[in-house]
Formats: sequence, C-alpha cells, structure tokens
Amino acid sequence: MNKLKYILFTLLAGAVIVIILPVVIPLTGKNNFPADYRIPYYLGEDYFLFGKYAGSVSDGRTTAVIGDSVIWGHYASDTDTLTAHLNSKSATVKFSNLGIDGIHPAAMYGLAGNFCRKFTGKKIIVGINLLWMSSPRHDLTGAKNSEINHKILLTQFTETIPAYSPSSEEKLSFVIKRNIPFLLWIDHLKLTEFREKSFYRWSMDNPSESICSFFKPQINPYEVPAPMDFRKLPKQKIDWIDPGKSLQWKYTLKTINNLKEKNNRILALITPFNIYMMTDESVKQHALITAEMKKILEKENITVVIPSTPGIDKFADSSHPAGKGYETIAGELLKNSDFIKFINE
Amino acid sequence: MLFQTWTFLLFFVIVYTLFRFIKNSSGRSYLLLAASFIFYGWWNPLFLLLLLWIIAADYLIIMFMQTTGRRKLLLFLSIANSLVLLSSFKYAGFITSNINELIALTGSAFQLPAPGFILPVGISFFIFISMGHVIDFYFGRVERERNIARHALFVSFFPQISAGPIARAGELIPQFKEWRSGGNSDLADGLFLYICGLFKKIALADYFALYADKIFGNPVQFGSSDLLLGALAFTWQIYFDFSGYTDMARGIARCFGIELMENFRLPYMAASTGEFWGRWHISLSSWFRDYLYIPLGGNRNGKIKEARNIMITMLLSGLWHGAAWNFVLWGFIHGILHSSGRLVRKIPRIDSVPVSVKRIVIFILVMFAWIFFRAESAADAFGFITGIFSGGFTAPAMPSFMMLLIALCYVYGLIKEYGFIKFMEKPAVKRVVALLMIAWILVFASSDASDFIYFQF
Repeated sequence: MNKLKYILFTLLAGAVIVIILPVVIPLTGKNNFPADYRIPYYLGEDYFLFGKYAGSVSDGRTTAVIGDSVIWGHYASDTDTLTAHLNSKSATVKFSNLGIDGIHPAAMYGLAGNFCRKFTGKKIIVGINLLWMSSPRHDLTGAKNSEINHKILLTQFTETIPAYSPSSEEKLSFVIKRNIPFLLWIDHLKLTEFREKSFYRWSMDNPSESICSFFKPQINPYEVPAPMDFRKLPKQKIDWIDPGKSLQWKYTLKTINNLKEKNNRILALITPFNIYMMTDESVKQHALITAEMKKILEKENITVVIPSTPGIDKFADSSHPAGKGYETIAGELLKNSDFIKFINE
Repeated sequence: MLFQTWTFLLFFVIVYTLFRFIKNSSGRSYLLLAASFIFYGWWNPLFLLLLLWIIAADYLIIMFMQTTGRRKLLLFLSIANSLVLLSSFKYAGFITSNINELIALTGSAFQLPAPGFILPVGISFFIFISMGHVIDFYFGRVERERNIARHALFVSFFPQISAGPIARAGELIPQFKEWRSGGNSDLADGLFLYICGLFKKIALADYFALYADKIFGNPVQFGSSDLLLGALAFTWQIYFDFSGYTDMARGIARCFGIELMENFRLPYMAASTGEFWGRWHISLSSWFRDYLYIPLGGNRNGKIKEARNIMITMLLSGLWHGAAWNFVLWGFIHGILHSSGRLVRKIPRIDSVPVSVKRIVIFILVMFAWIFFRAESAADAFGFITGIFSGGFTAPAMPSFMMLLIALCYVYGLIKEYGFIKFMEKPAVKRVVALLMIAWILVFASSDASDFIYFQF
C-alpha cells in the first residue's frame, strides 16, 4: 500500500507540475501584449508564447491577421508591418499580427488547429502568399527536404507530405510535444530565460564563461534584412504548381475551413507577388491561379481581397513587400469596400 | 527502439498495461515474448531471423542432449553454431581486411571482397546468453526448459537483448515460471531505476560525450591538457552510458517483476584490476570467468598457466567488444594489468599503501586503457598517448561546469562506497531525487536521443 501511495503521490506531483506550472509561472514576460505586438523573430518557434498571444487576441476585440512571413513582416520593423500600417491608418488598434516567419500553410494548419483553439466568433484575416506554390520544393510536393521550418506543426501520422519524411520517433515526439503545454513551456523557458536553448552546448562553446551568464538571455533586436536588388537579375520563369495539386492550397483551404467551423468570419487576403521578377508567361500563370483561388474561396462564402501589385521599389524580394509596400497595401485595403464591410460588420 | 525515446515509452505503456491485465504465468510469458520480438524487430525485422535461429537451434540442442545422450557433440555443435554466426556478422569484415593485408604483403594484387554484413544490434549479448544456457545445461547446472516460449523469452527478453546484462538461465527462467506480482512495489522501484538510468545517459554520458567526441575526433589539434581531459571525459562517458543503460534495463524488467543482475558496482572505486573486473560489466566478466577462464584451468595449474588464462580471457573479452585491433589491444593491456596486479600483491608492505592511493592508480590505468577502446585505431591510440606526454600545455577547452561535474561524480562514488548516503534509499528522498533528475533532463540536457555505446557490440 505504501508503494501505491508513493506512485500516486509521484503521479499527482508530476501532474501538478505539468499542469499548474505553466499557468502559475508563465514567464512570458508579458501579461498584456501591447498594441501592434508581433512575436519576436528569435521566438518564432516559441509556440507556448504564440498560444498565449493568440489567447489574448481571442479575448480582445481586434481582428486577427494570420499568415507567414509576409504577414509577420520579414523585411519590416515592428512599426512597418501590414498590421502596423493598418492600425496607424485607423483611429484605433484594430488588427493583431499573428504572423509567423517562415511558416508553410501546412504548418499554419497545425498552428491554427493547436494554438488558435480559443478563436470562436472572431474576425480573422488569413494571408495567402503564393510563394509556396512557386516550385514543388516550396510547396513540399517535391523531393525530400530536411530544411522545413516549423516541422512540429505539420500533420505527422494522418496525412503524407511528400517532402517531409522524419522517423516515427520524431513524428511521435512532435505530436506529444505540441499537445503537452508543459513541454512547450520548457522550450519557452529556454528561449526566453537562457542564453541558448541547450546549456550543455552553450558550456561547450563558452568553456571559460561563468555558469551564471547562461541565465542572462542575450536578446538582440531584430535587424531588418536589406531588400534584394532584383533589378539586376534576369526575369524568372516560375514553375507554378496547379492549385489542384498544391499542398499549399490544400492546407490553406483546410485552415480556413477549420477556423470557419468554429464560427469565425474569414477574409482571405491574397498578398501581392513581385511580378517584376517574372517572365510574362509566369505573370499570366500567376493571374490565372489567383483568379481560380478567388473563385473557389468565394464559392465557400469567403470574402477575398486581392490588393493590386505595388510598384517595383516597394518589394523587398519575390513575395515580401518592404515597409513602403505594406503602407501602400494597407492604404488600399482601407479603401476596399469588401474589406471595410468585413471589418465593420 | 531506444529506451530514452517516446516510441519506447509508448511501447512500454501498452505492454505494461496488458501485462497488468494478464494474471497467469504463461500468458505473461507469451505477452513479453511478443513484445520482445516487436522490440527487436523494430531495428530491422530481418534480424529476427537470426534471433529465431539461435533460439530454435539451442532449444533443440538442449532437447537432444537430454534425449540422445550425445552431450559433448551437441555442445560442440551449439558453440560452433553460435561462433560461426557471431564471426560471420561481427568479425567477417575484420578477418577479411586482415587477410587482405597479409595478401598485400606478398605483393599480390588479389583482394577478397568485403562481406558487407550489417551488424545486428545486441548479437554478442543474445548469443552469449543462449550459449551460457547450453553450457549450464551440459554441466548440469540447470534443468531443461521444455516450454519453448519461456526458453525464447529468456534469450530475447527485451530489456536485456540490446546490451545486457547477460542473464543466466538459472536466475532468469525460474522468475518467468513464477512471476512475482509485478505490482505497485515493483513498478515504483522499476521507475526509479529507469529514471536514474535516463539521468546517467542523458544528463551525464551525453554531456561528457560532447567533449570526448571533440577531442577524440581530432586529437592532433589539442595539447596535453585537453587530451588528458578528453580521456577523463570518455572514462566517465562510457561508465554512465553503459551503467545508465543497465539501470534502465533493470528498471524496466523490475516493472514486470523480474530482477536482472547488477552489472556495475562503482567500478572506479576499485583498488585493484581484479576488483575492477568484479565491478565493471559484471555479467560479462563473470561469463568469461565461468565459461572460459575456469574451464581453461583458472589459477589451478601454476602461475604461468594462470597468466596465460588471464591473457586469453582478456584478449577474447577485448575482441568481444569489437572487431578491431584497438579492442584486442585494450584486452591485452587489461590482461597485462591483471596478471601483473597479481604479482604486485605479493610485494612486501604493499598492503600498507593507502587504499585511496591504490584507487587513484587503478583509475588512471583504466583511464589510459580506455584510450585504446575509444580511438579509431591502435595507431590513433598510441598517437593520443604520445600527445598527452608531449607537453604543450595549453588552457583546456573543457567547460568548467564539466570539470566540476566530474569531480562531483568521483566524490559521489567515494561517499557511496563508504555508505554515507544510505538516507537516499528512503522513499521520500527517492521521490524528490527522481523529480529533480527529470527536471534537470528537461531543462538543461540536450533533447537529441543518441545511441548507447554498447549497442555496437
């Protein structure tokens, strides 16, 4: 009986630690996320923080804007992103940046399913960046690829992603990790409170440094990368993936449907692509794909907004606008009747 | 399937849950046999054929030994079968490359093709387990196990199949016949042992491995101090890696009510080489003692034959660990140390040397021997040792925290040796220690699951 008590006590203590600790000591450093907040670049894989931020957005009145690095603002400072410009052009803060840098729509589906669970009856703008359909490699329909971001968010066992082939152990560990907040909290702790994620590796790289310095996180502000000088590059022929075969498109639809099923109202924002870098044939193909997507989404009663392409100097690379580009797009959106209707409803 | 992975944890939870539902002895044996086959086949289902062959062959040989009376011939057949399999899978490449080198010396361009066998995980372990069973039956130390499922479970029992302990039929089979409860008490003890093993592997061995791998990976880049500390880091890495695995294996077996033999008893606290081998990989050293050293004559026929028997045993022990000359050399060094240790004992007043001094001397000797074990080749090992004594002292690149941890490990061994930490056996203390170990693993240790060193044997 004593041993049974011992096991029960240990299990109970374990459960208390696992469930209570992340709630009592969230260590997010923030109880209220400021207006125009975006997940810091170095915390892009901190899903515990994202969950907390998404929870806070779901409780608030702002419209959530989810998407990849175009929404997050890879070539923009905190005050130069799409949501930042939308907010500055509106009288009050109306939009929250829930973008994550480098997230493929297949991972976005996992992000929405696992960490946006509290979103019900909310207005959500889903950013669609056609970059992911610009080649089989980007679309994850090509050869096996070990450089996939946010693998933990991908579908692990139920569906096949051709470019993704981890071991069953890796898949299982991802499923367990993303479903146990305690494990995500541990990662959060490491990312926010420690100098590096692994103490052991840090001590190897800094053998003579005091252990205490490991507990002083070194937070460098995000350095906005310089825009590409694509004017000198020859025009590219893009190997566009047909929407019927594209994983990006399949998971974008799944994400939208998933959010819609929870009584959220969705606006699909197909962000502009840098057509100045493409051959004429690729530009035509891009227009056809965009039109087809719009048609499919409208059939599903989703409001679709496609801003016009800003000038060449407002792009930073093939799909990312620079700060000025975001300003232009935000201005255009706030004049778009469908957009205004969606926001004001 | 590695013990420290989620896959294994899931596997264990399923098997253990089923185990608790099954109350009869044969049902439990069948369940664990099925689990053992799944566990072993997880690496490569083809390896199961080899395991099944060993199980079936030795089962039939024991049966025919009893029914036909041709015991000696059958024993020879069993040993030959085991050694041929072991040689084919483990030593074929080594033998071929050595023959090719000899051929090359004659100036001939002819070369034998490389066999290209994949070494099945744990082959040296389960073959020795099964071989020991046949030898024990031959000498009348154990009864014949008629139930083939129980015989098969003894050879393939999943906690021990990949890296031991090398169980004895007389100890394990009776436990499969009359299962202990495998209840809450066993579960508590088993889980604690498992967590200890996990901590040794992930928090200690894998950390020391970061430094040892760096130094052994390119020894010419480093000065004396780093080389010496690299050898020291490997000395602790291999101990925690292997004893961690053993603790996990014993803990898992304990959850099912099975006691596996202890494999390590603070080996670095040994004050003689004989004592070291009585504390290090006990199941293997006792196997070699009982099935090789003693049948060769042991210490019964004079000093020269005793030294010869020690050398043969140690050389084969080295070869058992790996098919390469550096392992043979490692065995040879231990043979020399062990034989000369017996002579040293006869020096007058040797007993007056403090035991702490003897311990340190043995530790240093063992540490230098490990260099041959870890190095890629015998030449690398000699180069490594030359580097240690070549001077060129520079500030070592070993993290100060690692140095502190190594010192703590030694001090912990010392106070445990003298029984000063008996209070840690109290359930309440164990509980706290287990939680602290888990917390440490989660927060500070690396999350990458690495193989155990002894899996390669």
